[in-house]
Amino acid sequence: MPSEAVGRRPEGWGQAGVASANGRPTGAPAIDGLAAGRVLHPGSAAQVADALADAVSQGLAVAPLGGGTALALGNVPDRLDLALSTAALGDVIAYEPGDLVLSVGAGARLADVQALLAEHGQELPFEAPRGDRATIGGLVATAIAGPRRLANGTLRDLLIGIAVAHPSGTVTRAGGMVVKNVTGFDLPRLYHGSLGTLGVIVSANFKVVPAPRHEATVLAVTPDLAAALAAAKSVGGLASRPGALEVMLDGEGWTVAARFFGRPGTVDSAVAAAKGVLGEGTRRLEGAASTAWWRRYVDGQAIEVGPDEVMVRAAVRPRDSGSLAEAILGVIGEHGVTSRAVSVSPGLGTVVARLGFPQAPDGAPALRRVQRALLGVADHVTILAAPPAWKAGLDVWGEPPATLDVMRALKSQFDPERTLNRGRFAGHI
Amino acid sequence: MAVAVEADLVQIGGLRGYGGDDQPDPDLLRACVHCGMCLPSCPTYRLTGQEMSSPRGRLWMMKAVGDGRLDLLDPAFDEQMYQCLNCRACEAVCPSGVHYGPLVEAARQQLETHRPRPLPQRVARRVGIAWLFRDARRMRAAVAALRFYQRSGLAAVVRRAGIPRRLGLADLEAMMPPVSRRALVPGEERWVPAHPERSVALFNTCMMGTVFADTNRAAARVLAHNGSAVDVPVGQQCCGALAVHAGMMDEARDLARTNIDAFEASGDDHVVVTAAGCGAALKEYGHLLKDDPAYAGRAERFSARVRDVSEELGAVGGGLVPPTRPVRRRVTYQEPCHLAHAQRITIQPRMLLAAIPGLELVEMRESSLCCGSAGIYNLIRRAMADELGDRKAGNALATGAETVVTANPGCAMQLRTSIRRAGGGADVRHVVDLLDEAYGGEAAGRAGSWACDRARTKSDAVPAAAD
Amino acid sequence: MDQTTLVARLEAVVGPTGVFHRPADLLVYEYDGSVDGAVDTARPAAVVLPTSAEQVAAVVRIANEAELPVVARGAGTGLSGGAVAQRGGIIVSLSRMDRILDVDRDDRTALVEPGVINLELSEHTLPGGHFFAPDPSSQKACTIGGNVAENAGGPHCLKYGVTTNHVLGLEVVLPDGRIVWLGGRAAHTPGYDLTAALVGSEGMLGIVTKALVRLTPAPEATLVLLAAFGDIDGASQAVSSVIAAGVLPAALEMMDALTIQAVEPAYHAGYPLDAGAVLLIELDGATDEVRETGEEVAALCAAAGATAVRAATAKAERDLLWKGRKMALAAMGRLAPNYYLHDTVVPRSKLPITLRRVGEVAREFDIPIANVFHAGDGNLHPLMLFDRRERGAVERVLAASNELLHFCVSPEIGGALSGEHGIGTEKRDHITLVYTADDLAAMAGVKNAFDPRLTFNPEKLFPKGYMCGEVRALRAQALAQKHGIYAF
Repeated sequence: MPSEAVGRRPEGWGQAGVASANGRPTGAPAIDGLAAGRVLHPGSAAQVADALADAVSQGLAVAPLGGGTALALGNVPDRLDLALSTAALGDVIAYEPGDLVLSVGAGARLADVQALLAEHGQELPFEAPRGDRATIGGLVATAIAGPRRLANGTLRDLLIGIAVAHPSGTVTRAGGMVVKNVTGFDLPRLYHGSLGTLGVIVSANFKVVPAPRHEATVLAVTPDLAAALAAAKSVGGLASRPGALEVMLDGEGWTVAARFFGRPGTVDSAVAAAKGVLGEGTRRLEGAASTAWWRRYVDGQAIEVGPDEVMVRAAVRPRDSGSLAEAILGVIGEHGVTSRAVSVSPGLGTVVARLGFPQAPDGAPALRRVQRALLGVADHVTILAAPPAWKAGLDVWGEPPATLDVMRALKSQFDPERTLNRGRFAGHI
Repeated sequence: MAVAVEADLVQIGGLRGYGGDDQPDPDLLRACVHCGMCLPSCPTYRLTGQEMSSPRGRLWMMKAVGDGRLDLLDPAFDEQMYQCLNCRACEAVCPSGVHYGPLVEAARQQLETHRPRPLPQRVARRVGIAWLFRDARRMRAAVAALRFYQRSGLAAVVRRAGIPRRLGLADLEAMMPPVSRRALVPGEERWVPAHPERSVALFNTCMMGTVFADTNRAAARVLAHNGSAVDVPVGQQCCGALAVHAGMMDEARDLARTNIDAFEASGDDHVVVTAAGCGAALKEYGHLLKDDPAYAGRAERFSARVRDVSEELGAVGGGLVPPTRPVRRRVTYQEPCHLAHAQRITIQPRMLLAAIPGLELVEMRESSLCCGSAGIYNLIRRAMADELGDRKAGNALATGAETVVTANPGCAMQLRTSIRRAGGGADVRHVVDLLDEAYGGEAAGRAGSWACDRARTKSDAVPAAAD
Repeated sequence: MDQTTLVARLEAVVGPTGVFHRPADLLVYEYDGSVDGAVDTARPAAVVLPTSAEQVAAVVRIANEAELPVVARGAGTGLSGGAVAQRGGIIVSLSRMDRILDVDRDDRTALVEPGVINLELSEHTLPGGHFFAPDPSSQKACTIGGNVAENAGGPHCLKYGVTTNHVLGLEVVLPDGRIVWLGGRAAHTPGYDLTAALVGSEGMLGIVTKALVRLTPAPEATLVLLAAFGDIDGASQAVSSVIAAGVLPAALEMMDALTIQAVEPAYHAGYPLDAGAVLLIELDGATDEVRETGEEVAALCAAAGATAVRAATAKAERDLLWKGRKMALAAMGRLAPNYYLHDTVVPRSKLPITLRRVGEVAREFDIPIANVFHAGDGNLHPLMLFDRRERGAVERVLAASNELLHFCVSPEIGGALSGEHGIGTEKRDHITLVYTADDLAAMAGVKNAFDPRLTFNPEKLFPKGYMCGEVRALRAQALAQKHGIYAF
């Protein structure tokens, strides 16, 4: 365990941590324009816990920091004093290819993990924007996932164990290194998507799967959304189920993209079936070309925006994806904003849109109106990213659920002083 | 009276435990590990959702009485022991192989012996079970009267007068199928195939020899068509199933001994049964008489000879003679509990039906769930039986079947009533009725496949239905 | 609140036919499917059979007034004592809430009440080409609500995942008597993933009154391979090679010689009687893929020393091969009056050494132990056969079980305490073998957030005395170290 080496240093992580572990940038990061006064790079779980306990005793507000690819997510923090980087916790703790399980430090980058698994013909059936920078800890905390969610779920479905450092100064573990485990409450999945507000994830264990032997993608372009969604629905209903299926707006119109995994023969017949449904004028991407196309597509959904831009995600039950997409286009038209990118995941019932706000720099009132309108057409709406000044006063997570009191109680059990990511999560928890 | 019957009960900590003979066998009880796998198979649990009405709940209660944790005469115990349909669906799914039937029967025997019942109930039970079913001749006479009632115009008059309704017998009356014209009297008819390959002895009481006598004749013709000479041995009586289910073990044992005697003359021939309930009871004579030194061994040998008619036909050497006359009908099959669960016979009836040209078999939902008949359960526990019957009729009619096929007289009557109540028009037949039709019925005999020898003997002679 | 008032109040909610309180009635709610001796029986004060979420909520509010514990119960097939009212109180039996409310083929979801039987949901949806993937061995009897509470698994969770992977949303009655929805048909519910917390929480956080579950499309083709081996090591080797070759079977089950010899004569599934172990490998997916993979797996088994490999594609043949596996427990149950089914998980690579240890324990404690288990995910189910009438038999079995537990969760092996049965009361005192005081404190934090009055299913999961304050050792230790941050 590499963390031991760091841990043995008498001064521990202190200033030494700042001296660029793994060659990462060391400058203090900012979240929504709020700069953390300090950034620490603890080298062990215990050091993270100690740092948190110290922060509690000094009354500091802390933000955990991974690869920094999703810092725009969440409400504007109430306060920020200290960033706790997981950069020095990036090692592979255990990997048993024969057991199809993996344990990695929170700071491990997704792309590095996938590269390691690929050496053994395995993978995490999962992707995320900026996989070269995004860390495992950050991905678990934010619950970000790509289009493969359709067939493989999110990291929530692959998580089998976790270690978390708490403001109480403790490090706790839950789950383990086996693929099936009902020992105690399922805390790993509770931490998934908790935005680091219950503790700082220091390592996570996953089940991994054999990598598919081949992949291919079919792309079809149609002029209008309704036709694209109808086509997507037919592809989604094929016996050879796609591993990902997206409908996106681009220059030429609406593109339907269906990705298939499996043995070459299986992929061939799946592609043939999809082409049969999608009709003439389809494009087929094979192997690496398919992989690269999807990487570009997923990276395009990185949670970041320009100064006049907002990124939103809306969700309904999957069968209503079509009407949601239409409704969102309507909202865009009504409120004088422009759509720069729209992606529909018909199997998941989500639409992600990047909207241009001509009202910039003062887009706040418009954003408030757009949020209200979107909440009227979708079950859940998340403003994934927006200029910080526009977010102030909003809950970017939309309407808090009826169980907000239980969530607050959870928060106060784990982080009574609201040390972690104060105000950033749903209901300004 | 109450004091007297309770005198021989074991007392544990102020609670009355089992006493005397026929106690639920603690070893059999212990086999239940209360895993709960039996719950969904149990009709009374399915209807009520309460664990008292589940097999493991009832076994746990039986255990509790034995352990001195529950009073034998606790009303809840009585209620559950008799609410059970004894359909034995639980036995078929039990991972631990618990023999539920004998346990509940023993528990009932304990209650029969030690619990005073109100006089009307006692009289009804004595008349019904001990007197009427005790003697095949009384049964035939009663059924002949019934046929007269149905056909003479008296039924119409009585019905118009609302008499069955006033007597609370409306359903019982509706349940009765048209009674066969002539009872089948043991020793009076014999079927001999053109080329006999074996002989069998047909079990013939009580309902099958009277109300359903034509079905028993159909069974005999089908057996003969497949090479068996069919005798109906003289001297046979009720199988005793009703007495066993009611916990009247002494009556049941008397009947068993009578039947063993009656069938011993037929050597090793299979005893073929057309009523699943009787078949199950006959197959358990070994257990019933295990403590009777004179009969224990004979009972074992007798039970080993017993075959349900579908079991017998399913096992005929060289396979079933293929039926040739199409029976163009959509049918569904209702599994009698005592065939599917007690005897574990599920494939053979379906195979026989599948062999019939033109016949379409559509499976219903929950085909193995009890229809609510359960011996005389539908006469004494009306609400529960009706609910089960409605559920069954709904499932059966949902298949669009014109005929519901079963293999037990009690089920046939319960199905008939339930289907009428649900407003359905489907008729109810025995498996062998349809098979006989596919072989040409009586015509097969005229074609020389077999001959029916009507050697009327006077030895067992009470006239069949009067006409 | 005295018993009479309590019963009257409850009857006002669910009617007189929905409340049971006579001693004879309560008697049959004092156990679940767990083994006598491993889990104590306990009698509730009353049993209530509600028919709606509103009734459940009203019962919970009455229990709160009366300061009584509430224990939810499905079919009572659980093996860790989860449905036993250890501290009395009110059992809420959900058996009368057994409707399938909605099946949505487009969204591939089913909305069900908690009392729906697992297998009956699949039977209901299969004609339309879908099934509910979690398939615990008790699936003919166990309920979806119980599956959610215990996060049930089954042979096919190797490929399809366990219950939590198939639950999209839950309608839940919280310990304060409110009815709330967690998760739902749309993704991205804001805030913490409380659905995840509920699944597998053993009835301690909420009572499920509706579950929105994912349906899985039935595969185009299914192939079952039966591979026989001379010994367990050979079979284990084959498991490793299959996994190493990048094949993910739908199910991968192993049975040892003792199991085969019990099963084959009873069910004629076609298992070679002279085999030391057999593997049952199910592959499913696209027709061509299944065929190709099947050939590959057969070759891998042969290379690992399989003495025979049989393939079955037709449903009847496949069912026959599976019958032996599914009825294994039944067949074993007939070898001895009682059995104790163990449930630990070890990393796949530790299977051979663990199975050797199982063999040693069988000899040391003089208990026949059969192995029939989910080899694909390392979930062991050593089956200990005994006769409880024999003096000391139960104690011996529990001691052997304890020995195995310690071995499986030792650092050397790195296994888990329970793969699918749960902790309940059965393993509550063993949980400290795998979790520290701090780890448990985090779980207690979740419990306190949902149920600060500790009303729901007390005496489960946490070590004896941990939550109720009778034995304060663990907690005191945690509190002393951590400046009282977790306030219990």
